Amino acid sequence: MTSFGTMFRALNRNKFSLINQIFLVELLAVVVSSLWTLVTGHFSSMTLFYSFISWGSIAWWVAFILLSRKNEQTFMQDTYRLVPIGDGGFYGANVLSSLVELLYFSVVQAVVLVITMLIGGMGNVDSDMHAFLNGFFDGSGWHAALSGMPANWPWLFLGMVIVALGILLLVWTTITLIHFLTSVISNFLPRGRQRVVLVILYIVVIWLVTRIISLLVMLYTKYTSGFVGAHVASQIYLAAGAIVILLVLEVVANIFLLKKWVETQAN
Amino acid sequence: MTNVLAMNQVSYKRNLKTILHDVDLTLETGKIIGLLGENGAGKTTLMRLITGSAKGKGTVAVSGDTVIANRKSHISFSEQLHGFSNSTKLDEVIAFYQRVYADFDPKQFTELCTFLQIDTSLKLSSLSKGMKEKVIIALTLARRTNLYLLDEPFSGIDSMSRKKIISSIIKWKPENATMVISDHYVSEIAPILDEIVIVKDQTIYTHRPADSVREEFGVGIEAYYESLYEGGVQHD
Repeated sequence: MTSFGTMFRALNRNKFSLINQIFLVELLAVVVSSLWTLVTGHFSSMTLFYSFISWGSIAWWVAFILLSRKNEQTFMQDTYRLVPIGDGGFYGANVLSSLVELLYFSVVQAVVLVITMLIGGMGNVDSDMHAFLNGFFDGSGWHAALSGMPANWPWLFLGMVIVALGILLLVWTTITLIHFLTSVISNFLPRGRQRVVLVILYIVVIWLVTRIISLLVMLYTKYTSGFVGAHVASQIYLAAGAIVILLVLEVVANIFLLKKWVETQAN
Repeated sequence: MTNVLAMNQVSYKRNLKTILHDVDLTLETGKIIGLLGENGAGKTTLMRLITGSAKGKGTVAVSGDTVIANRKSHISFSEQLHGFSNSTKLDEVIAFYQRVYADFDPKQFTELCTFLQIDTSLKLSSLSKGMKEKVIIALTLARRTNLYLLDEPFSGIDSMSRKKIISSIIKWKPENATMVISDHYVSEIAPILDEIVIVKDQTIYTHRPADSVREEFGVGIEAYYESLYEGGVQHD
């Protein structure tokens, strides 16, 4: 049997090269657009920073969409499904490897932004960015920022991280749930006009899944609204709780479908 | 002799159409079996049911294991490498196999590559259909498993290479392993077959030793197989 770690590394390898390709295309776009700015005479010390912000956000969405697509393809291909590993391990390795690669991409983006911000801000002593960076490095900016924050800010920050990661995973598990349900149901429908039937089926399944999710969220909000009050921390933690519950439900449903019903595409 | 495969009352339906029903099939270890049947008879589906890629009713046990994840560790299937993009280099495909299959034998793979004249530095996109099939055969046979499932492994391969592979296939198979070959080149694979399994009328029509066909009917495997279809109902 293949271990979870081995499967994770094998799937991660493919996705790692995909992410690097996206980053290379982004770099190319930044270089071209910066050169254009230079030619038009609008180049400043902050051009690279702003260029990375705009191209970086597009690249992040491209990475997210391509990783989502890769996730779903992996679930349906014999190349991966024939590996001797349990369905839970396989599912987890696939989703986790995508998450790790998206986080890697986000970290690379953040590092590039910080570097270009430092280059740009330190390069122009008259800019607002220069003043901001000075405050950042001599500590006065930190003190001002932290003094305005509530005492439990580390917990708030942790809660927000959980919510952000949870939403990201929830989007992927929901896409997979819709994909699996549609694939399973289409196996029970007559072969004729499969394309039309699939489009209608996708619309119906998407509508059903979003209805069920919103119903669950409504129920959860109804029963927990009494605990929330005006505390930001409790609102964040209750949101995180709702996301985790939904996530667990969807993961269990996906693994069940994968085990019992979802077939790979035939050779 | 022990059984490597036991299928009991296996049925499979898709898009409201029965593809296979009431399949009972037992295969012993150490045999080479020809899986025969016309196009669309259900040969590939039968293999997919064994690997767990298709979900049917009934029980399938490979080397005594009925749990799909365990079953997979006993099976090497000639998968078409659809999970890799065309820009993937063969070296990367091999690294993937080596990583995820503990029974992958790199030494045997290298020998197979030399025998089949495969250049592992190429990308998948630069391989001809025949060369890709050779790669698939090499990857499938480089694993040390109990059951090999080769689904039309010779399509696209030139006749000289095909004959060369068929005549040497016994060399690459572990002694106690069973190999199931589904192919349309019946006359070419017939000499190496120990048994034949014919899929017809959505079930196992016959399963018998290859020698018994020659002895009882006095004809070759291909003639016997074709005679079953003469005047018979055609299924697609």
